[in-house]
Amino acid sequence: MLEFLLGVAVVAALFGVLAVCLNLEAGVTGLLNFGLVAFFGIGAYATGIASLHGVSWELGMLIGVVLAALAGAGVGLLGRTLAAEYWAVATLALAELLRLIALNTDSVTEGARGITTVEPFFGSLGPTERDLAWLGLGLALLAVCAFVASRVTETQFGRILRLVREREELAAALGHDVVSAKVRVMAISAPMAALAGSLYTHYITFIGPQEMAPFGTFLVWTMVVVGGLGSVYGVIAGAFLVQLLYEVTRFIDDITDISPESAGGVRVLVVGAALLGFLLFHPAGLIPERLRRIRAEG
Amino acid sequence: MGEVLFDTLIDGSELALIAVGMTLVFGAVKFANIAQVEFATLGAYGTVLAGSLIGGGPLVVEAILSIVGVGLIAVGLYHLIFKRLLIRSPATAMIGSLALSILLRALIQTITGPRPKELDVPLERANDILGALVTPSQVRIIVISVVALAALMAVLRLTALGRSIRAVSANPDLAAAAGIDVRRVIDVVWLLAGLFGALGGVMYAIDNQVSLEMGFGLLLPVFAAALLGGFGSPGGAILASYLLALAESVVLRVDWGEVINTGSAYLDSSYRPAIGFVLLLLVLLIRPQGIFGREARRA
Repeated sequence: MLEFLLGVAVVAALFGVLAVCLNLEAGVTGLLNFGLVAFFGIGAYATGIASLHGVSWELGMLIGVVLAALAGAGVGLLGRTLAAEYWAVATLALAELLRLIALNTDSVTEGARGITTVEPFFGSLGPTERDLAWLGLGLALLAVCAFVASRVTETQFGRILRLVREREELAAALGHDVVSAKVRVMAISAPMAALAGSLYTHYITFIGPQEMAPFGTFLVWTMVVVGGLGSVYGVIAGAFLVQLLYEVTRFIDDITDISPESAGGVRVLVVGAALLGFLLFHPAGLIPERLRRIRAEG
Repeated sequence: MGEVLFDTLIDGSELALIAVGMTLVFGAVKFANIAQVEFATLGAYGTVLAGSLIGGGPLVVEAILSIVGVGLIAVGLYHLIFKRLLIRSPATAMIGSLALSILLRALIQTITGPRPKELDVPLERANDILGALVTPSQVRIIVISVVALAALMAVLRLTALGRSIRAVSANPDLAAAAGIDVRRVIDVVWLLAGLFGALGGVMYAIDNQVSLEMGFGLLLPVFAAALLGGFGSPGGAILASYLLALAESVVLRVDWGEVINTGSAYLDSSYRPAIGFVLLLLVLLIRPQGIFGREARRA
């Protein structure tokens, strides 16, 4: 039981980083990133491919982070010409393209088999101590990312981002460079996703194309919407809750007489219902974004 | 040559049926419904379900029951879910449609399990037409699709209902002021989106399999077609679907090695979906308003 919860907490902390990242993009700036898993995948595959060639893990992680920042900036630049909904689909298409490349370029990515040579961290520790150490590492990364994200949100830059979310034309009319704001917020957030991807790969010591399926993006969206779009603490709470929900339903075929094949569907169903339910009935999320009131002089 | 022609006609027809529904809904309520492709999945599974309910009737009857059912489901989903989400914003509706898309697939998996199914199509001998091997079923797919699409275009262009749909798509407030019952038109549009999406799904399933991923696998090509045609323009979406299918077929058949003088090199067919993605991205970059459209680009 303890080991199960520890495992859930480690993965939830890493997904919490993804939630913080998506919240900066979607919650604060209003950028609907439907291809978040691509940036996670860039970090994960950089780590995986580095391990295939015997490159040190630090360098693999660094390459992933730099590539993700560049890719993020490039995707942000697409916001120059595209309205929000079209940008969303472009990100989804990019993520699917990367997944197809990961799946089909056997010579580089080992194809559908995935990469299994990733170096485990804390290899000398016992299983429980190992997970405790991982939890510490995951929470530390989460804390750093949450700190960076809330600093970004509180600055003048953050106010511009929220203005882009609410009234993009107004932000442009006030003389703010909207495209540059989008590029910068993507370049700040994408490396977070890559770091999470890299650490996740070291945690499960494996990366395959199925880890880049659109379901990953959808899971993080659920975390962010359930927690509260725009609220850093909300989305972190959302990450732990949704991850727990998703992992607990793993046992659904043990306690009911649902066949194991259908049980996979039930697990996704529960997550989907949470997302749609919150969108319909509680769109502000569990911990809503707190907007500062400005009293008008009168 | 014949192979390219028939690939284009078959794949293009399946895409066009689904894409035309997506573009109609966009025209009426101004959001891109990701769950449109799940109407195709529902249509295919509905046909299997109808078959087991009526004890294996002819495929045509099963398919019609399923298609009508999905049409009604589409209207129901609009009233239950999308109407509410659209009040908040098109972006919320789009996130909701992503959630619904995954929810519907999970629901089907929970009920029938993840294994693909086959529609009850008899094994047929393929005929040699213009150097391509084509089965009678595939000919039927092309004929049915072209007739359905032509009928839709005729309704849109020639009838009062079609005029109302186009009026609502162009300017809902003005249409309402002119005495058009906008709410009824929107219902009709969702019905059409469900019917055509499901028909496209049945056609796809006859040619391939009934699988959970079939709809989602078509999402990006369908989206590319709707976008290339200019969102809200049914004629554009149909034309773009065939163009896209032509591009896929040609890209896979061209010997790229000969083009760049390095011996023989064909693109692996596992990259087939990538062609649609790349085309989608190129369209988004170069001409986001599509060939005929005016939407998408930021002012």
